[in-house]
Amino acid sequence: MSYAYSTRARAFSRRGIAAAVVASLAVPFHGAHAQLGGLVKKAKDRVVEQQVANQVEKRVNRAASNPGAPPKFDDVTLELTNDRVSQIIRGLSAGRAVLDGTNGSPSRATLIAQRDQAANQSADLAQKNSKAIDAYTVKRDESQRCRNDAIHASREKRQQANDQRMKELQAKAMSDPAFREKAIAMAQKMAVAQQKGDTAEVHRLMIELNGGAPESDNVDSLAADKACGSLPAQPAAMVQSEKLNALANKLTESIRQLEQQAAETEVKESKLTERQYQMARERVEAYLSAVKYNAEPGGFSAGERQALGAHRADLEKVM
Amino acid sequence: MPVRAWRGAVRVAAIAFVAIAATPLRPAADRAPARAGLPPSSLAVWTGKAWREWWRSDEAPDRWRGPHNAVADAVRWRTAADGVEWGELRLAGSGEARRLRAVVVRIDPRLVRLRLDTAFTAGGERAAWTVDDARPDAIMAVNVGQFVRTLPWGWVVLDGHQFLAPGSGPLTTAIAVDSSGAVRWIGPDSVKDASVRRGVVAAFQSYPTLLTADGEIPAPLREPGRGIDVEHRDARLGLGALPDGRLLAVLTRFDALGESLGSIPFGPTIPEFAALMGALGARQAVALDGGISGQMLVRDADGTHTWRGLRKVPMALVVTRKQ
Repeated sequence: MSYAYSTRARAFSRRGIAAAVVASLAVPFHGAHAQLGGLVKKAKDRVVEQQVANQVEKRVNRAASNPGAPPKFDDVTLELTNDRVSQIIRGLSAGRAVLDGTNGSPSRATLIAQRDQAANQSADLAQKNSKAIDAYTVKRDESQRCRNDAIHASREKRQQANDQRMKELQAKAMSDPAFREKAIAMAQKMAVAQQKGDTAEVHRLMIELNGGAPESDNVDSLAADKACGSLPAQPAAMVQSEKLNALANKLTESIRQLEQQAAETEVKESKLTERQYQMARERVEAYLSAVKYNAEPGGFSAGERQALGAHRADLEKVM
Repeated sequence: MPVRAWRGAVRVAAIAFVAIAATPLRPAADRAPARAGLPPSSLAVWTGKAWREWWRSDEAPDRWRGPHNAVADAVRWRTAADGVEWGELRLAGSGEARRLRAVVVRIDPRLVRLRLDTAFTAGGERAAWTVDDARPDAIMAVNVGQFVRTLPWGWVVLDGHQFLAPGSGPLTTAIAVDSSGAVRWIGPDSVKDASVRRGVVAAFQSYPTLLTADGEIPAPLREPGRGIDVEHRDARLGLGALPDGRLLAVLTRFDALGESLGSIPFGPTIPEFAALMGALGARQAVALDGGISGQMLVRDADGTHTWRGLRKVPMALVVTRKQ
């Protein structure tokens, strides 16, 4: 490309740009009104934005001037009056009774002791028999690898046999009109059975079409047994350790259920709704935690501080 | 056309062009159709110069497709360690949430190790973990899951062993770490499927789900009367997943008098908190135990930063360096 051409091209390009700019400025004379409208709107938006910012600023500053103010009391967050604190103590006491097993079921302490005993026995057995367990694990992993290979090989072999059988059936269908008609009829029957969700009939028709029952799935497992032997037996200590672990898990679940039962009893006996009770309980916990560390409890009304202060010892006993 | 008018038009067009170019992208969220909506409230963020309102209950989006620029830009990220960054942002909401601070931590599970620590008193009578008990090598620690009295609610896997069976509920989410260190988010329908739980070395469950896998806000969080209290204000704690696989932990604190009153359980509503997670870029998120339980620790070159709760909890997610 010559320099002259390049200059001309640039000159043309500049002219083109100039024309485009002129055109864009000429056309938007109407458009400019729209854009001007957009600017006015943006200015209005900025005013609104500033107003919002000022309102937020006021709100934020108000919060800073009274940081420990109580929350807005409503249907969920109730003011903790003397009566309500008594209701909460009643609920907490009833819940504690459930945890202590006074309703006839094992106490939480008993369940925890049993759980810990089972877990400790399991850990003890595992530790004392670690050599046998490690040896078993190595042998099991070896056997598992061998079995996986054998199962894979068996599946491959079966798949190849199936593919071969399919090819034969396809060839037969091409060359044998009677078989072809039979196959089409069977396929139609199969479609009907499938639509009805009749899996037993579909299975039966498949067997009929294939000219015999397919090999069962445990053929592969049997092939693995033949090649690798059965999986080694777990050492008795390991079996026992796993049983104890299962027991510990079961007991942990029982503890959780008992805690759930205690929580439900607390709500019931407090005569508050569940949400009211949970909110009140959480606020009581916050109060007790603050006073325990000699901090000023924030977020409570003067009346609430008085009521909670008066019942502090009772609350600490049952919480 | 008179020359003056022509020049005026040129100026207007030029200003309009600049104004259009400077207009920020629309918030990456789907506006919701009008419905019997959430109680009136709004959220503003401190941009460093002014308060900018970025969310209103009457225009709350149904889905977050990406972060909200004003909120995301308000966080000044600091590196705690490879794979862990943290920052704070100031928020102003309605009612008791008129002055809030949010502590935000981004965690890259590919670069760190995630583990669950538990703590109970000697007799197992009480939960006993606080941020002050976080192991010395913790880069970040936060309480996770929910609990009734002492034991965590729902599914718990510790060191590859299932400690507690899964719980059920339509708005539950399980977070599981597998043996490769990858994090899986498991919904309520899948958590009981044994094959989904295979290979998991640590897991916990929590509720309510704040954002589903595609950034959608679950229907019960969008209007009252569907099983979630959309009005109640509390300190909030949540865990989210960013599109690149990083985790996002967010803790809100009451911010009227600095951190001295930080543990007072005043804060956003659940819909507001879901919006915050979405605005910070999470595509899915779940609430953890906030209120007086919420607590977090971050260690960086400047030392240990703690945001304490008022209650001891049974379990914490602890982030340490990869060995």
